Amino acid sequence: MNSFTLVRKNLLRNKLRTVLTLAAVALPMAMFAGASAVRQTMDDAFARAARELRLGVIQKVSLINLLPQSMRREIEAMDPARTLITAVCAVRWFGGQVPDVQYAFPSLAADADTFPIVYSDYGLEGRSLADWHKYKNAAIVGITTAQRLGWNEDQEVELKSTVPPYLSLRFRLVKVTSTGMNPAVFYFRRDYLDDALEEAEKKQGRSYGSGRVNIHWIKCRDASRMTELGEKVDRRFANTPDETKTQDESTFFASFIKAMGDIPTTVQYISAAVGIAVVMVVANTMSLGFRERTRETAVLRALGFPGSWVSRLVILESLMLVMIGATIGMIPTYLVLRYLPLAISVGPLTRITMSPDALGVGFVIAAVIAVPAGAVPAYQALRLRAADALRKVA
Amino acid sequence: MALPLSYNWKNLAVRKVSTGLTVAGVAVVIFVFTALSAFVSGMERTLRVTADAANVTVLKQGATAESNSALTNEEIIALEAAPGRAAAAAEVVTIAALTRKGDKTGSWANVPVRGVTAESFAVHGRVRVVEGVSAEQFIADTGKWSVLVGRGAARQYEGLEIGGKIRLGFAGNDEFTVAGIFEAGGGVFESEIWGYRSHIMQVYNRRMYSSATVKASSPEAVKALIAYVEGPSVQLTGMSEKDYFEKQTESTKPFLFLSYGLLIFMGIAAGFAVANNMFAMVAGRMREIAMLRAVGFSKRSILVSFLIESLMLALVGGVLGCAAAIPLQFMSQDMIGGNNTFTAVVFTFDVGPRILATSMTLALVLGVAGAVFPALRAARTPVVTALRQV
Repeated sequence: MNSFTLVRKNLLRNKLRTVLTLAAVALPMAMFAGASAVRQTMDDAFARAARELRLGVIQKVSLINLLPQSMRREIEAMDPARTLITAVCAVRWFGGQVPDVQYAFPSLAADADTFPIVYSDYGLEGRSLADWHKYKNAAIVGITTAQRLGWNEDQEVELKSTVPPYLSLRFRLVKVTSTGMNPAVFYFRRDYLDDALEEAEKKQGRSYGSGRVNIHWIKCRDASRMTELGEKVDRRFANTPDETKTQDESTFFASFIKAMGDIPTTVQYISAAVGIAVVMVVANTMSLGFRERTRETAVLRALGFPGSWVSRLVILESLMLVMIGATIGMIPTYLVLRYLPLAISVGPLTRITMSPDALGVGFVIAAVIAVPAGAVPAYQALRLRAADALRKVA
Repeated sequence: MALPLSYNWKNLAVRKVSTGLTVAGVAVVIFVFTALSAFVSGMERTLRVTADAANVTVLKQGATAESNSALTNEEIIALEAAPGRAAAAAEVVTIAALTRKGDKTGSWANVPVRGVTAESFAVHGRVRVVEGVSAEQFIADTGKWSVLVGRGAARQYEGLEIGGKIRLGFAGNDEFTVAGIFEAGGGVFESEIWGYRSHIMQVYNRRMYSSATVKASSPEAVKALIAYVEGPSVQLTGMSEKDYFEKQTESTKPFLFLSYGLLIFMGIAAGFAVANNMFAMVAGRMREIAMLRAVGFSKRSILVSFLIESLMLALVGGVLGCAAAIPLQFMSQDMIGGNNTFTAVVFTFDVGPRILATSMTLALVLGVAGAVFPALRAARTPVVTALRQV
């Protein structure tokens, strides 16, 4: 009989207790898996953003303050040989909604010429690229939004803006994209928006900021020189009427996500609480089991098994409990999130999935938790004096 | 005859480690539960107390929030002619990017900045300046570039203490001095910075107002007022202040949904943990229980005794968990509150008597739920077999 068999037999001895413990471990571990899925989804989004090598130039004070479109030429002129910059694309927030539908998604107008380059990850190419250039009201939409609203390619759709002058515009969908940073986003041509803005300005005799934009996105060539370029841009516009603040895309979204209720921190707190709860539950079970088996442990010691061997046995039992509990809790969560991703809408995050990596990390953490959970009885086993324990009546 | 309570607590005291761990487990769950419900309740409280039953919020047609609405002078004049109004305030709402206290990551929050007039204090009756200059003084002294800040904003963001200097305006280089701190019964306004309307419009290059709040002469007159606002002579969007703020909380719903899911999971797990401990207690005392039965204690008194023992565990765990959550009331959190807007609302955790009572109830429910089956097993102990056992 090896120690593994002994551990298994010990666990099966009080089946009710083992089952209750496993349930009390599995539920928190399911939550833990969910929490790490959220965390991972976020990290993935940041990593994807970082790979795209985009720098966002916004007005120094706030994203909602507009910058002139002419700034694009000035940024391009800073690098005439194009050793740092691939292209610059200006975008303007449209804030479109489908009338009478409760579904919010980001909709933005982008420079027609550079959008396909700066946002190459959205995959405008071939026919869709030709259509984008051909139709002034061309638009590209992410798969999440298209599915939600039942939209297809080549369809005409209408959006009503929630920002002044509250334009209603009709668009021709040239592509439904499943790649790219944000699977919920809706992009269309900025020249189309500006025409409509100018018309509204003429009709109403007031300014709605035509020709002005929220962000200039710079597609960079070299990741290592992005920070330097960002600083250079901010210096270029310092002490002008339009001072800027330049950040890379992942910092940009991190700030945004933090504002939506600081999910990263919340997830961390929840994970910590869950970890502590699991330690308590397992520690309790282990100490109960150890107390009942004090005499047996004493017999093992009397037979010549060293204290360290018995301690190891206790830790092994704790490990097995936690791992089985973790498996029961995390595998279903993993399968559910893998095949039925949870739809959310927090900035660039639109669905929560779970990768095998996140599952692996969950098991590693479970294994780490098992050690403190078995620590007290393991220490008692180490210190147990066989003669005293044998003399004691249970 | 009932078993004395001392029997229970002495038993708990004998198994120090198990008792301690179970109590700690319950305490963790109750703490998490209290924290989450305090957060949820704090958020609801903030959004609820803001609304005044007689107020109508007026926005441009098509706008979803004050921050994306724009009203012209003519529209305000038409509004002021509204029948059955007691007061009306046209305001401008914009945002300032401020750093959270103690945040070193370089991120910022979009704090609402409201340009107000004397009428604003008339329509937002709950707003009271509690520190610094009085509201009257503030309104009268437009020569100074000063602002009033809400209690929540002052707590959450850097540099908003009285006498502090902040930079506002389109380019963020117009300096204002914090002249006072106001409260609004804990409502949304406490997350804002209030400046004199003409100053705010000037430094943010605004030519239009954002929204107007019209106070009806009575809550009953609200309907007629909304009909007038939406009618042919004005053609704006009007809604009761309550409806407006409820719409602004849409984005917080997934967060609440998630919180409740977590609470249910944690609660069930804690129930299992308590049951586990109680089963062990019962199993270890089979002979003792049989003895008690033999000397004449009824099944019922054994059952009650074990339930009480479990309740003691849960009570101590609950008290510890609640006690640990009480300091949370000094914490605050900001979150984007709004539908297609980016402005932050500051919430404080509401660790009030109602929340604590709910948490303690949950602790006791856990205690009972976890003990029912073990206690039944104890009560059903077969006397003769158990006594004969070695």
